[in-house]
Amino acid sequence: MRRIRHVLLASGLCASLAGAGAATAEDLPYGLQAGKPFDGTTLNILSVVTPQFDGLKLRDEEFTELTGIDTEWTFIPFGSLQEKLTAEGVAASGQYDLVNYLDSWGPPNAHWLKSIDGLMAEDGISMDRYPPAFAKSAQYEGETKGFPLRAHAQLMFYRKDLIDTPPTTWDEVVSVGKSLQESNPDIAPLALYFNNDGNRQNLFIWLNFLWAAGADVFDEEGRPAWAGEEGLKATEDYIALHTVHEVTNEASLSFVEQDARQSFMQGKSAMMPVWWWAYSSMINPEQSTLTEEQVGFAGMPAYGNEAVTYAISMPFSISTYSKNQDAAWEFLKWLSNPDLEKRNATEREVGGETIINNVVTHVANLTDEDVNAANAGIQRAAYDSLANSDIMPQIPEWPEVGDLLSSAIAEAAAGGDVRELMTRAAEQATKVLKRSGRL
Amino acid sequence: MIGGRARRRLLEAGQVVAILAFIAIMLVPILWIALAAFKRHVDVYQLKLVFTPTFENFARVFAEPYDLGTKLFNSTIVATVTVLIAIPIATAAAYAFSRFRLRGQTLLLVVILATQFVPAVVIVLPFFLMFRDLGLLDTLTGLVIVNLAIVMPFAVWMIKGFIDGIPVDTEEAALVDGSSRLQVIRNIVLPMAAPGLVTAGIFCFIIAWNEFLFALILTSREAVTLPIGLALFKAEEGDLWNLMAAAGIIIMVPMFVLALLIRRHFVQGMTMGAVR
Amino acid sequence: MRDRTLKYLLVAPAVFVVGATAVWPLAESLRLSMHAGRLSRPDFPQGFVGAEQYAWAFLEQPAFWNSVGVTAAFTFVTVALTTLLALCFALLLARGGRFRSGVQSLLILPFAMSPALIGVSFRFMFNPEFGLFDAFLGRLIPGAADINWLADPTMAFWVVVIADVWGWIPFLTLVLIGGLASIPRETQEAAEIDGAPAWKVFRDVTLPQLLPVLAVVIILKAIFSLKTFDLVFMLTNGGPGDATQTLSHYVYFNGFKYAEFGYASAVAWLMVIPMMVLTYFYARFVFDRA
Repeated sequence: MRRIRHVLLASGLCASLAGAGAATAEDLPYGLQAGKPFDGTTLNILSVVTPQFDGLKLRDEEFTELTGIDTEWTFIPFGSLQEKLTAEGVAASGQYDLVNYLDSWGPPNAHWLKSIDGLMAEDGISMDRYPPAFAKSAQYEGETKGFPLRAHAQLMFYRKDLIDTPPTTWDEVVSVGKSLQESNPDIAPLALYFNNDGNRQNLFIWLNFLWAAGADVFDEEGRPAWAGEEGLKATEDYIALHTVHEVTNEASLSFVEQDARQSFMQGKSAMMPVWWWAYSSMINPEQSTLTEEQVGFAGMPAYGNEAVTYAISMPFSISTYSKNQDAAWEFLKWLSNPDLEKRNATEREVGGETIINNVVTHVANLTDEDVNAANAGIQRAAYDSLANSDIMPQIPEWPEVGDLLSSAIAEAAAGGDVRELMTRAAEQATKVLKRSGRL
Repeated sequence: MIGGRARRRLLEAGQVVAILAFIAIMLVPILWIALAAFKRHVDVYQLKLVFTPTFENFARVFAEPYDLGTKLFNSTIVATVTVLIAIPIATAAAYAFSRFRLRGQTLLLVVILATQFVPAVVIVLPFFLMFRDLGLLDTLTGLVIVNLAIVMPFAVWMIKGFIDGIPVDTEEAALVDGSSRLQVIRNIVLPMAAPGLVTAGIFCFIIAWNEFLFALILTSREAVTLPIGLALFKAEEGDLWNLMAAAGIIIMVPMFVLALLIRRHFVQGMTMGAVR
Repeated sequence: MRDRTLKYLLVAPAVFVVGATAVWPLAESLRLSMHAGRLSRPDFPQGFVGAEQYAWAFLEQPAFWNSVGVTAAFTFVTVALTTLLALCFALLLARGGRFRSGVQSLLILPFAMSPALIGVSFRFMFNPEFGLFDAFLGRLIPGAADINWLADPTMAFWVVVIADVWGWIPFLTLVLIGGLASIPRETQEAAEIDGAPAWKVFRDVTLPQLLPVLAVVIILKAIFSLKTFDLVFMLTNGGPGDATQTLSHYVYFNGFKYAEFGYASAVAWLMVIPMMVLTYFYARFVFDRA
């Protein structure tokens, strides 16, 4: 149907062009349809609160001019977004045309998120424009559900005034940590976060160890696979940072990610592995006691021979309950285009407001010189980190299984028997998966 | 050996110290939160008693995306309407229970009582589904309905306690003189029970104002109330304590004022006359 | 209108409201508990599964029993502590006079704080890096500042207990003050004149007369402790791990985080049973006085 429309539009425009000699309106950028077929529609967008999306919202008049489609953004703080999404799925009212969510919330909601592979093929968009891990995070069971507009890579942040060469392996982390304990005893070498507060944050670094050891969370049949010999050894080494080598901040047991970040920013810890977006707050005097000269970043250390990192994203998808799905697709195409993304990471002021954002997800932008120049080269570091990275399993039962793991890790770090805890978690996880019919 | 009077004074002094310690423990957390509401984010992480105060937190919580002003409005509407509906209905029932003997009265009273003790989490899911089908999700109407469920038992019992405490004689005299029952209720009972009604009303207002779980599950954008606003300050970067504290103050202050008004009376209501 | 019809008319609206808003959802909840009820699949609530969810809770889910244990321990400890402390403070404050009366008025303030707010405040104050209580206790007891209050399962449990007790003491104290006030002075004075020491007067004269109010207080507090949700949600969110996951929180988590509405309803219904038992005793005490 659309193809016919395209042809008709194209020929109609050609005809009028031939007559009027006006500029070619036919070639709208980013695959947008010409002729404003959805003029007058208003789209409702559900989004997380973040300067990055503020920057997009402030520029979306450009989209309205091109297509005549209006937009209404609803920003929900991260802490309540999941409930909102669940409620939207249950209500099935189509109140929002586009929704933004954390990738791990995708699978339970996938049944009402629109698959866009067909649309992408028609408009010549490929997921290759994103690093594989980012692309994977927006897919479910082989179908693409949306675009990862906001996605993150892990980096190791460190005090470059205290550490000359950043560690490249976790063994080096230990040795750097130990010498730091001698030379600067009042700063903890490494801030990790083992606390389990329901957000599974203590798995973020654990996965580095697990994957580099050659193990995985699930095997090909979907059974828990972290309790094999390699997996157990990897877990033990991860926990050993705190319990055996003791190079971590003592409070790491109670830290969640934000506490560890605070610890680094208040100058109480010297190394901290976390998301790349943390950089801007680390050098912001309103939030941190550190200066740009003190904060360095490097790729994640390797475990054994490899460094495999964990990537996370917040994709945008179209709701199948929406009454404006075609118009929503137009918007998604525009919203995700690389030029807009580049401007959002290089221009610091939009419409009179200051927007500081360094998140880009297109490969083209991650390796772009201008983008890197504007952001201390952090995109390049992230891109390298993403060369070998993966995401958490995309199954609806993941929250429950993930919580079992997170609980086991927290207990292990508190001094429990690592092998026993992880094996028990695997047994309970198997039960859960069997009950839900996945196994 | 300490003499009798000196000993009593020592005892009294000891008691005063204990009381002061007690009240300090009770009030310090509140004061600390109040202080945090005026601090900048970076000051929150240092235990400073002296700092340069800022009102910016209050400005920020009223702005997008937190929009506490709308939530304040929603909370006020929901709590007020709930009370305006609950009190008359409860008063009618309370009067009947108090002055008459109905068939199955004990059972009815116990059932009304029992629902007061059902954990909200047991019934929130059916409400969620029912509201979805009725289109009541994320509406103030829906919130009023659930809050009625919560406060009605309290209201009936408290008001019954008050009416029980009013002597029947005046009513009986009026009835003998030819007034109808309804006239008696309107002209005699209501004025005398008025303080009790106000107390029950304020008590129910506070409960509806602070109600958390139903508001969390049943609202998403339009009808969000103040307590849920607190959960909004968990950002991707972490908790914004200074903003949370500012929001906390906005939630607390009206409740303090109302609670002080009813301090004398609510105790009686809660124990339903077990305390005379 | 005859009294006979009027009295039923007066009662009807209240009964209707309670029936529609409390009794009906309870029944619905029971129905849901017997279906698979997964929100992550289409065709909610999917099929009828009978008592399977209940079996899963009892037999296969250690997390369920953990919640039962946490809730039971929490209820027992908070009821005991709150009642004891409230009784002490009530005795301290009952005497009257301007000072004590003023303090009683101040007691209202913590009562007006919602449990959610209390949860947030205590989480703020027990933060190991910048929390007020952490610093204060650290100064009082050396080594206490090193404790990761909310990361250690045992300590986290106690922090939740402390927050809950803190929140309820004012209210229970005021109730007990009222109870003490209603005991006729003559009985106490008679004993004092007879030369009995203060603690004996309390034990033999005051306490027995206070017992009915005390019983009401204990049962009320037990019921509210069993229901605890807001506090846990904002203070620890059930953590660390599930060390502070009360049954209410467990139901919420399974229903809304894991999207298992059917199972969550089953557990929720299991909570109703102790409620009914306690309500029976509460009604007995209250009605016996009437």
